[in-house]
Amino acid sequence: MKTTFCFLFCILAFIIEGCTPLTLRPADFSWPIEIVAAPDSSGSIQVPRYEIAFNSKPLFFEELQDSTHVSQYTLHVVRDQNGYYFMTAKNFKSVYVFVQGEGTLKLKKKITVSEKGLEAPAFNQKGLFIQLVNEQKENEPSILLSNDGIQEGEKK
Amino acid sequence: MKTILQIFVLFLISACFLNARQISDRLIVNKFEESVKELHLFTDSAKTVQDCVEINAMADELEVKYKEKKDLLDRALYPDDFHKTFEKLRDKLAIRRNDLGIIETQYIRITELEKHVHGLSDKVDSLSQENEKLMNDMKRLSITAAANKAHFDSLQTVISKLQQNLKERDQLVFSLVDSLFLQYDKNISDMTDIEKQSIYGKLERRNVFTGIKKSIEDNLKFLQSTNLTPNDYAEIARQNNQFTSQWKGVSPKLADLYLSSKKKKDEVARIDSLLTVWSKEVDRSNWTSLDTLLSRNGIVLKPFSNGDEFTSHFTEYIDTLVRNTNQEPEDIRAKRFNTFNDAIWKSNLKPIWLPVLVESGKLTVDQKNKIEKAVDSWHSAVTPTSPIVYAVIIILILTIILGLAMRFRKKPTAQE
Repeated sequence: MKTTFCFLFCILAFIIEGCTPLTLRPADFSWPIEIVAAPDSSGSIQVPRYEIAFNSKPLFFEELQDSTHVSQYTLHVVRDQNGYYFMTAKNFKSVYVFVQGEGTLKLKKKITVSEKGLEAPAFNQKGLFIQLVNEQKENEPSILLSNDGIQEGEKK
Repeated sequence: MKTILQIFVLFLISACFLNARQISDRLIVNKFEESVKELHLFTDSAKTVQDCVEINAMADELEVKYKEKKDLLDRALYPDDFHKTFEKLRDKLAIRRNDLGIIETQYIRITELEKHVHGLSDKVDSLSQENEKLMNDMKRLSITAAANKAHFDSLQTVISKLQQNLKERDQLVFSLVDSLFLQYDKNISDMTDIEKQSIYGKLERRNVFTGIKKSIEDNLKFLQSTNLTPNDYAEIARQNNQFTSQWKGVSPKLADLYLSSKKKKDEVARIDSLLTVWSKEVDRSNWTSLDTLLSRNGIVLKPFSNGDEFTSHFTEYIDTLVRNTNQEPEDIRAKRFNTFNDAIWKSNLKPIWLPVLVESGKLTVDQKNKIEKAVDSWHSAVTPTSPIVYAVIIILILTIILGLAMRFRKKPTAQE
């Protein structure tokens, strides 16, 4: 009885192992520093170093209700260890967290970080988190973000 | 478990960055890249050996400045890392040197001088910081020193250290200027405009004018602080004298260099005027301190504020004492002289003050001799005649009488 149980257990383990997709871990998708890029007139942003390109118009429309003057803005983009894209810009009240899909970037979380709109936002990589700082006010407390929201610090 | 780990990491990060300034990493990287780009442009436009040396020094400085950000830069720079960035820059500079046909020995010599300048500049900065701290310590201790013996001792240590540091920094500032000019090995009038601009830039970068002004201002502050001993004043006078003569050596060069720059010419004039203020203050403090030293020990002279007045009033005072020797008992006169001799003359005035006053031009050698002669005469006037002298005189008189008597006895008479 005991032998049969062990045999069945082993077969079950092989079956489960066979069904689980191959996983490579750990994997680190983080960018060392943020990218600051201005969209072209069509809203397209290209990041040659990381070979990604995406349309930023819907993002600007969502935040500023303006998708016609997108080339006047600069977007701050950084990617964290888990591969989530964090995006924000001057005057934005939120940081947008996107996850990569098939030919798309899907919004995972919209984190409200400021009541009035950010003055001079910049992202730093801080281990498991993304630090949001005010480039013009070095003494202003920063906010630590993850893809789930604010981890430390307060809304501005 | 993951949440606990995240909280722990979060705590560590919070602790590490609690007091840190929140600077954007991208800004750091951008600034670094801009500086490197600028150095590449400088390299392309380098025309002289000094230019190449200077660019090399700037690259060294940049490397040191960003060394603590090496990890960030290694990750952020693309396709090169921190080390490779400087390697490329130095390779480019070497090629440029070859293109310009710069002789290697000349380059090495000037590089060494530049390193020396850099080292001196760092020392000046660190001494300035240390002096700032010592000044504050001195102010703090001055308040409590009168009531507390331990504080008084600490204050004396601080004053002594500060005085040493001020002296050292003054020396360093002038060595720095000398080393900068040495790199060019020629008179300002023979320099090309490019060379003048280059040395002008170096003087700016090393904050030479600020350094000289800071030296004078700190010396002034030190002088105006309380609790300085006569020895301190004497040393300050010596330091002021040395600084003035060094500035006289450097200022014509700087004036020549800044012929066309009104702003810089004004800076030279400003240093001149600061130095005048310092010298006047040293002068005033010197005479006041000397007066205090004398009056504390019972020698009250008429007010004096220069060498002539001091010599005149001092010798006049002694002359009066010598003239009045018969009006006072011998022991009182001797006691007064001995007090002066022990507390003022032998310990302060003769070994410290007179040499310093002569050295700084406040007294002439003749005046010094006159003062010494006056003290000698006072000494003679109060010293009772020794019994040995009386004995010698008696023996002499007896010898003369005996000699004469024998001479008269030996004379034969006509009858004999």
